[in-house]
Amino acid sequence: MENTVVDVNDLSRSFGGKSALDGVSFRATAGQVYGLVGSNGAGKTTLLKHLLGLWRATTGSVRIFGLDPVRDPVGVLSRVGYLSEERDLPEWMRVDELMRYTQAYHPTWDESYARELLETFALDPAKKIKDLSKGMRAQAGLIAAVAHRPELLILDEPSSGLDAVVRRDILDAVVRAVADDGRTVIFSSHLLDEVERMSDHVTMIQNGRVTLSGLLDDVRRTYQRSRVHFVDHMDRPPVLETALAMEGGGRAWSVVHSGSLEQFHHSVAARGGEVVESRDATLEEIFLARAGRSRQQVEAA
Amino acid sequence: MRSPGQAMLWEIWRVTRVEAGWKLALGTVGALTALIWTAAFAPPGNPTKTTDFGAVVALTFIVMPQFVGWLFLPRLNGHRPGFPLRLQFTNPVRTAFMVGVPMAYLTIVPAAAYLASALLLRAIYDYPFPLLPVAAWIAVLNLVLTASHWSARKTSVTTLIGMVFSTALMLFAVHRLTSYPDGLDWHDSPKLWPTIFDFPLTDYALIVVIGLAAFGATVARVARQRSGDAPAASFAWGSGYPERLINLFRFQCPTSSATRAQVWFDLKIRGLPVLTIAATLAIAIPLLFAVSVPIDAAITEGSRLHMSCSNRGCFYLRPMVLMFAAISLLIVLFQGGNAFGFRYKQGRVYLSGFEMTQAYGTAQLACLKLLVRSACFLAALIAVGVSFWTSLPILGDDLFIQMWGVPLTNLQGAINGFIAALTAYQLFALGVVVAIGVFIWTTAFAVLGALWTRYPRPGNIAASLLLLYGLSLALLALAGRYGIVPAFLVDAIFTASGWIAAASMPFTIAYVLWRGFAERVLTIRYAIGAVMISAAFAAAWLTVLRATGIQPAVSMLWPLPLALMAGVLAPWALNRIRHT
Amino acid sequence: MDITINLTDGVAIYRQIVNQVKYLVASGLLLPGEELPPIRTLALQLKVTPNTIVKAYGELESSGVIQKRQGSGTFVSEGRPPQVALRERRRVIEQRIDALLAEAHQLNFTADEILRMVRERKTEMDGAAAESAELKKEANS
Repeated sequence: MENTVVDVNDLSRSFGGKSALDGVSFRATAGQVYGLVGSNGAGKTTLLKHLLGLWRATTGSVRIFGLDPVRDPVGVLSRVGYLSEERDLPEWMRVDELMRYTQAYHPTWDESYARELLETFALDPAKKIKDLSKGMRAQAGLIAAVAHRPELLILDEPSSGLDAVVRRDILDAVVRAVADDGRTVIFSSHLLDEVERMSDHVTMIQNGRVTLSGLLDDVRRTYQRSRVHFVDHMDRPPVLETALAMEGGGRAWSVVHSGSLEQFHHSVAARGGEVVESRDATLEEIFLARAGRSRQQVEAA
Repeated sequence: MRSPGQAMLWEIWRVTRVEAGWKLALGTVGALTALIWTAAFAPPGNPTKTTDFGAVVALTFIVMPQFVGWLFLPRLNGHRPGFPLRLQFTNPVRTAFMVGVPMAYLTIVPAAAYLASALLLRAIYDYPFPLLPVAAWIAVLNLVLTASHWSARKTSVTTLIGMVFSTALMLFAVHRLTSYPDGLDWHDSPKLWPTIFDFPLTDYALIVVIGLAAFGATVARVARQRSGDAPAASFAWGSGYPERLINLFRFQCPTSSATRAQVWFDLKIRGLPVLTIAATLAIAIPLLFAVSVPIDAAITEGSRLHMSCSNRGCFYLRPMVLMFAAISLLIVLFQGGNAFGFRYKQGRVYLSGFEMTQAYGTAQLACLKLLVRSACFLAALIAVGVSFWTSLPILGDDLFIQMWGVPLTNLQGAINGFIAALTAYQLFALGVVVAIGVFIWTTAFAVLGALWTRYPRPGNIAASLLLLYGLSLALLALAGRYGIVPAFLVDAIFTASGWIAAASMPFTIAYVLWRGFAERVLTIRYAIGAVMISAAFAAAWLTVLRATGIQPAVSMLWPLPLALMAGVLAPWALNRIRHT
Repeated sequence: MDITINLTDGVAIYRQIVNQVKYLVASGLLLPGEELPPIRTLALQLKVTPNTIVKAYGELESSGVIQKRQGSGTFVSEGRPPQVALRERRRVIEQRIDALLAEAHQLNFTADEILRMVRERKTEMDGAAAESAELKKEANS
């Protein structure tokens, strides 16, 4: 049986009357990469903060390595590396002091790896954190998070606001963490192409609820994107049962739909059209279609 | 569609209305309480002396809240210096108007509040509370403080200007208040208020000039900010010491154990800055004292024409430096707070996520932070206290006779003699009491801060209820004095309150222990350790009491549960806020 | 190893890797017995999660295209039967033909017209190639 690293069960949390998480369940096994996607404010950071024990689970349960992060913070946090969204590092500390300070808490600290990363990122160890740019801050935080070879790496929006070079560094570190040591990585991002490359599993959170969860390839296979041609000119997209989103105009439309391909062919034919081409949908198409769908539902209601 | 002026006024009013209300209420209620109390408790033989004292206290009460400037106004700008109403920059209004309207509001409201309370007191009591002169003072102070906030780019500059100007105004006030004819004491000042507060026109002219200059300078600076020439203020430090102070002493972070690293962290961020501040003050106090004596002598020699000094000499600078030394003791006292490291950013209080996600147990973290903080705080207190105590004789006995009628050497001699008479064991006990007392003081601040941040609404309700209860107890005492309520009832209620307060402590301890064990925050070993330390504290406390000649009674044992409460509340409170 | 990942195609990443490796082997760019990059290296190069590479290599191994040797690494299988290579090559071409036929249908060309156009284009290209060979010979002499 696989090694369950993270086990979140029916977690709900609200702040001041507004529900941030609603019955969220999430499981992570060792050696896999988990991508969390969702729009801003959907609940990704809240979920990750629950994993670290920064928020206490009021309903439902959170277990990391079988331990409760609130009752046993040392047992959990000593095996976890965390990069926060706001890169919360003490402004007055120097980079080398940050390394030494983190090293003191983690006996598994790999000094040579840390030094290698410092060189690769070209970070000046004598610089104070307040003098670092946004990208360098993310890099410093990343080194502190990965250099002690944690069993679980939690990255909250690791690439947000960073240029392509720094982003590549971060992805490299993630790849190495998984490839070298069989560690688990959970990261949240709204850069969907990154999630598509880097995740084994993807979980989509919308308005505090999990709308999609599973192996990335399985999720993508569930949704298709087809090009459809109709005989008649249409001003508005025709209603097709399994369609989530339709783009285009006139006689040529592009549809993202779920369910069986045959069913889709039938419903298109019933409307007087034919399917020209079909392929698995990309994560971005699925995300936009689902996000758009919830907007459409709101409008209809 | 609101006009820009209305919009600005509304925005400022929204942020300052609560504060203005509180200041007015606090000032007036405090003043009334002082007057009522002194009237009630005045010895029947010489009532006017006590009531005069009450009037002076009342005047202080209604002036002081308006004298501190606006505390909540920086919220408009995210606590950064600079003009807060930036949204108006793109509106077609003149900069002078944009600055003038809010500034006028912020200047007039405190002065008006003062006038309101002064008029009220005047109507109720016979004392001639000064009206226009003090109102003008308050107006100009608020104007300069606002001006400094809006024009400067760095918080340090605004603080400096604010301090310099307030000190200058205070000096001016003291100059006025101490220039009375011989034979009278400062207790008698209310009779002299009309003469003291009768500013010559030159004073008013000076105030107007300062006001206009400040306004003009602010308009110029804001115009620069508007045209983008002055870059936006850098992000103000949340709360905590400025980075230069933290990095003043650089020593390497130990990597051998987490505890040592945590001690390094707390020393750097909260411990050493306190010690540095204390050391600076400890050195400054004797120097200032030493410098003030010849300056006062020079003034005594030089300007007998302009100042009416008493026959003992002119005490101009020396009361100032004495007040400064007392204030520095207060400053050091308040360095004992915020051991948990709350940060105050953009109006929200929060704990650093970085510190809270380190792999360290909550109980150990709480104790470590509190120990480091209290150790440094104790050292700071000792440094400044000793410096203050040993420098007092420099000022000379005359000053103390002038101010309190008693030469300093008597007072100092009494306390020094008492200390010398203690045996080694009693001295040790005194040391233990002070050390653990300091720990309790630091813990109290940290725990209250943590719980208030975590549960703000219950905290506010509890604080208001306690305040109301205290006030009602005071009124009850008053009523008993007047015979409205029978004395035994007053005694009974007071005793009952005392017992309830005493009983709440073991109840709190029991609850926190229960929750602490249930949530695995406290361990048996920790609890035993806390109990032992509290026992040691109680024993030392009793020894000290006996040494001072007070017979220990059961009611004197209240520090024992207090120490235990501090010990168990600290980890529990940190746990509450670490895992929200 | 020259492999590119395309995210807009809609094809799963591991499948793209499998296809491209098969193509490289079939077209002779990867020789039998040649070593493939280790999982970690390929993952870093392509910026994809290593588990995808694991999956791709797993499928390639089960279809006999590559072999994992204990301790030495991953290598292209030796001596692959020619029909398999033919099958792979046919599959690649058939994909192109499917796409071409779909386009043709869109643009209202029949299959016969397409065949004629293919032959015409081939003749043109052969002619152009012969011409450039002539020019080169003249330049060299």
